[in-house]
Amino acid sequence: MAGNIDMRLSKPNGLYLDRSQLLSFQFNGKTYQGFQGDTIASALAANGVKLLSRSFKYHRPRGIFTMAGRDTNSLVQVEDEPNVRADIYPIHNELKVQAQNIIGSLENDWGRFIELVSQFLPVGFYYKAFYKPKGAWKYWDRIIRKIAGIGKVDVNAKSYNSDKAYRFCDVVVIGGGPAGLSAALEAAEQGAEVILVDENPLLGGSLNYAKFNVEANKIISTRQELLDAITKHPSIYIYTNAICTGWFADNWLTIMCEKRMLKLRAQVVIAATGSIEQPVVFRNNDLPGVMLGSAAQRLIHFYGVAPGKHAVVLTGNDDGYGVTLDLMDAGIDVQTVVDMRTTPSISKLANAIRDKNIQILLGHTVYEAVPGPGKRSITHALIHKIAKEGAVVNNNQKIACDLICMSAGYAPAAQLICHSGGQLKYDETDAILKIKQLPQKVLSFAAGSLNSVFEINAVLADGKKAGWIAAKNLGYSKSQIPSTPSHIGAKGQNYPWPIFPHPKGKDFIDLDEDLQVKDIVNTVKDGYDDLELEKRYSTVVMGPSQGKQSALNNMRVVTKETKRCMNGITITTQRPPYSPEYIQHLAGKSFQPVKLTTMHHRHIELHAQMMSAGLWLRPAYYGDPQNKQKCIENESLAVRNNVGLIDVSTLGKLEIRGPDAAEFLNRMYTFAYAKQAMHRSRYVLMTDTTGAIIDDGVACRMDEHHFYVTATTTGVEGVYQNMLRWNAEWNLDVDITNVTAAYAAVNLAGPKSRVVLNCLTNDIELSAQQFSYMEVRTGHIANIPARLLRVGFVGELGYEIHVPASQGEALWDALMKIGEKFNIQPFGVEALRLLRLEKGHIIVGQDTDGLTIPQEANMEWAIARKKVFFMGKRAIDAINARALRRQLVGFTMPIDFPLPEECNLVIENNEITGRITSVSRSPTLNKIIGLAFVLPEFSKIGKRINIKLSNAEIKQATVSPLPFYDPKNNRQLI
Amino acid sequence: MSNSALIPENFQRRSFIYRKFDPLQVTWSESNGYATVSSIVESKIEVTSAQHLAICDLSHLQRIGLKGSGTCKWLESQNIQIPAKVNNALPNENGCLVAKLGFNEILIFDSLQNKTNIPKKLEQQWDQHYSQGNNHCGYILPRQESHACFIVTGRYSFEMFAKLCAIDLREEKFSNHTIAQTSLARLGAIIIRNDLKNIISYIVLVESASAEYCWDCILDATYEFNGKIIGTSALLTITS
Repeated sequence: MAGNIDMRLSKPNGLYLDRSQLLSFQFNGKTYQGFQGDTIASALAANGVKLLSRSFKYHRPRGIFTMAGRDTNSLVQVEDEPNVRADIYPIHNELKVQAQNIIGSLENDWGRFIELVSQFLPVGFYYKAFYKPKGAWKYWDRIIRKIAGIGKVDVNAKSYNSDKAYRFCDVVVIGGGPAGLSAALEAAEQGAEVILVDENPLLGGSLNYAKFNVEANKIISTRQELLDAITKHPSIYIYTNAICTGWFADNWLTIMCEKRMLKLRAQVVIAATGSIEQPVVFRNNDLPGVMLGSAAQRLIHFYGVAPGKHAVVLTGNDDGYGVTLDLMDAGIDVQTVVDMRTTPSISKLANAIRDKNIQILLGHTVYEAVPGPGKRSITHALIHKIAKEGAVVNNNQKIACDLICMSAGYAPAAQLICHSGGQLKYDETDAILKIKQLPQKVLSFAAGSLNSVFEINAVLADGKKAGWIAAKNLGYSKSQIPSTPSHIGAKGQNYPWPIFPHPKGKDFIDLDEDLQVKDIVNTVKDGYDDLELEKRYSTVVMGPSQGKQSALNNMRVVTKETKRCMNGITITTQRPPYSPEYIQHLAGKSFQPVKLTTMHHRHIELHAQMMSAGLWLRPAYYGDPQNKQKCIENESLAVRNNVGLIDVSTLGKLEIRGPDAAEFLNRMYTFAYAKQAMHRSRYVLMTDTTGAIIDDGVACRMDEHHFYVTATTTGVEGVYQNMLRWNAEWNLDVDITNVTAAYAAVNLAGPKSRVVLNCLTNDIELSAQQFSYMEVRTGHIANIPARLLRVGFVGELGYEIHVPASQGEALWDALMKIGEKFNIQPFGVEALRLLRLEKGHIIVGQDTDGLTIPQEANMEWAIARKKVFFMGKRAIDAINARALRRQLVGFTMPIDFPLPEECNLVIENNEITGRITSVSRSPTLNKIIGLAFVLPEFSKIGKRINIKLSNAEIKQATVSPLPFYDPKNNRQLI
Repeated sequence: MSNSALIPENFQRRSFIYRKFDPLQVTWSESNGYATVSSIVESKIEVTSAQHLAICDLSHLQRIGLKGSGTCKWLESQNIQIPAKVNNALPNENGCLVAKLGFNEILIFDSLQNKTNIPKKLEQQWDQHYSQGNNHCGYILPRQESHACFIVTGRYSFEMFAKLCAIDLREEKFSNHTIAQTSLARLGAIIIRNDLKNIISYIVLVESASAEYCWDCILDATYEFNGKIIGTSALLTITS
């Protein structure tokens, strides 16, 4: 490795550089210097470092190739981040860069010896080997993974905040080159609001580095005029260093900025993404020192770095002459221009080269790059005369050089267009891929070289026209449509067959995956003659660059090998992203809504352990998690023996109002509501059309046309949607409103609940005679307007108190304060579950599943059979005609048995016959109690069932009557 | 009236996010039975913040909803002017703001000063009307309780909202008194453009149970633009 050679050029080269800021960074442990604005690759090149990486399969030395972030050669590890593209990643002080995919050192990578056995590693070898004998893959898998891995994932990598934001515009122009600038300016001039997106630090695209077939001053002035107008225009928003990675339905585009993903919605998209220069295929066309002509120009103009000292330029179009001029201007000794064409170019660029007496070899090609020591550089170019398509005459000239620049033509950067349904086709006349069809379902246009327009004046005009039409489509343009020149420069831009296979191979079509011409030929011979199949078998175009430099040449070879006509052939499917994306950008800032009851902070102050219930957080129990069981027992005993308070604000709450409210409930629920008395509540059970239980709660009749209905915490959204959907069909005169969040609610339960409540109300008579079980009252508790429901979910005297949400915390405060003298105990969901289990009440979703019908859950009492209709009635009636397949039963076990878990299995004769749905140790009953699905023949009281515990131990339980506690309901009726 | 001794817990009605102000030196005042944030720093500074980017809790702001057949007709009989189109709001001459959320769904806010008392009066009128057996007057929606209410003000409002919401809320695209019923940070939200004099402003309503979550999301989004929390005094100064 060199490293002490200064390849830096003086100004005006180095557009991106701030030469006043000298920076130091490390590459493979050695310190280098560069300027602010340098990339890793440019700074290394300025120091004479050509070797950047090793190839994926053969570990061949690789260097700068595109200088545009479009190739695998530039992948390096930057601290904790693998696969960084060194040719676009800016340096900064203290930056530490490491080569990746090496065994040993970058210069002497032991992996390079794999190339010696390359003849045993033909295309698709991994499909043909390693699978025999049986089990062999396990062995090879580890080795192949180790060899094939690129970069190292640091599991301790630093994370940073990235987020997403939405953007909107009339017209988005993707690409800030001459066509994009021209399009953006015209669309904005016509009145449209424009967003201009470019992946580079500076707008201008090829205007910043390419030599066009016009006077240099004209390009400089055109660029400056466009940039001045664009940056000053109030209707143009510019995003540089931002890359559009996907174009989705309805003109929804993803724009990746440094730490933000923009989700852009545009009315019209103008794609001006330009084109991607294509390589020539010859032996050793991958080694450091061989690069695209545009890469050399970027190095010179952007970074002020000479790409080599002695150059050979290999071209198939006039752009190669522009490259030659740039190299010469940079002081590089250009030995020869090798023009694959047989007819001399008459362009101004070619004439300029002739004027400088540079040797031009027409009808020739570089047939081989001769490597230097360790193949870490090149020393010569072997040049042969082209005999016919892809074949040469052996009359080689050997020219000493350390740089070969290739200009063989372009492929349109049409990936984004293809994402959104556009198509390309090969035009054999111009040997070029052209847009066959733009995305059809959205307003979109293409401009510039993407649109097969290459002549610079035509490019500017094409952009202007696209901008005008885009604005016109939005109703802005008033002037005449801009004209475009007839000469667009497509003819002669692409050399039709820049592929020269070598008998010794290493003539790479795809540098990502080390695929040579013979690999593609052999793929076809193996029978994979369709491009999509060939791609998958050979993995061509499937590497990190996604075929940007290989898709066109691959298509040419496959088409030739399959003896098809090139004309009209298309490339393989293009999928997002166009360019690599950070998963962190995609994940971005995640939003996870949380619902809190108005008493939430009181629970936290009382050391509640919170649990999730859908989006809600609820107190599971209060106290130290290490004493969880004791806490739950104490809470349940407080309710049984004294008074407890639980926050039930999360319960679903629905207002059903209107003349048809009762009829509506009759249809939605299994019970009957038409004759339900005023100010009374009644259990509600909802089944779906298959008869399966989906929710339950109570319905309180507030007046003749008004029911206040509760639903389960996690079920209410579904119930509400269900109600809206069905009533859209029934068209009953009823209004359905979900008021879950509008009401806070508590359940005050226990023998002393009436005494406590009596202290806080003077407008509700609480005696058993005046306010009996299942009745509903409205009044005030602690001066807070409240709805009171006497319900008995926990099996004790109790009151559910519903108040406006904003006053929920005040209600809690009042009850806790007055309850102090009665030793009131807040209790959580865990105690609630135990208490209701003692009472034998089911929890929908826990003791039922998506198939449980009311008969199985002993809920037939909740079905009004005389009703003509309710949702699920037909199914329930049909199911009634056949025998039940399972039954929910209560069971008990001795208190000192190990506690089974929910979902432990019920086993009979080694067969699974059921499962536990709820189970707990009851401190009140001094035994283990639970609910389980069993076979109907095991549902009789006293039957013994076998329960398989989590540790596989079998324990017997006894089927017991429900409820376990207070079967005559004496305690809740008082 | 501002009173530094006022604290939210002395009131039965409490903002859904009042604890979010615990770390701040807040001057509280009473409004509509709530302790409300009157100011946090000097009012003049808060007015400047409001012009730049600010958020203010308006959970106390009187509001009521009605929906169902007969709603608009009944409200018109109560001298409430209804916007012609759905998803539009109309400031009434009496000071209240009337938002049309659906063909038969209306949301009515009191003025920022909470002085017209129209939502409360309407509720009383409706109760009386309904109790007399009149069904075709819609049904009351408890918007005061079901939804928290914030206002986001200032020229950077759109930039902030763009991080949370997929709707184009820019000044020129989302005109004053336009309504978006949309998703904000994955939460159902009603956003009403309601400029305060010449300051672009948006009223945001989200389910009260998610008020703290939404407040945190908005605050987090405002930091990038140096947004501030302000009290109601600044809003009243702006609108006076």
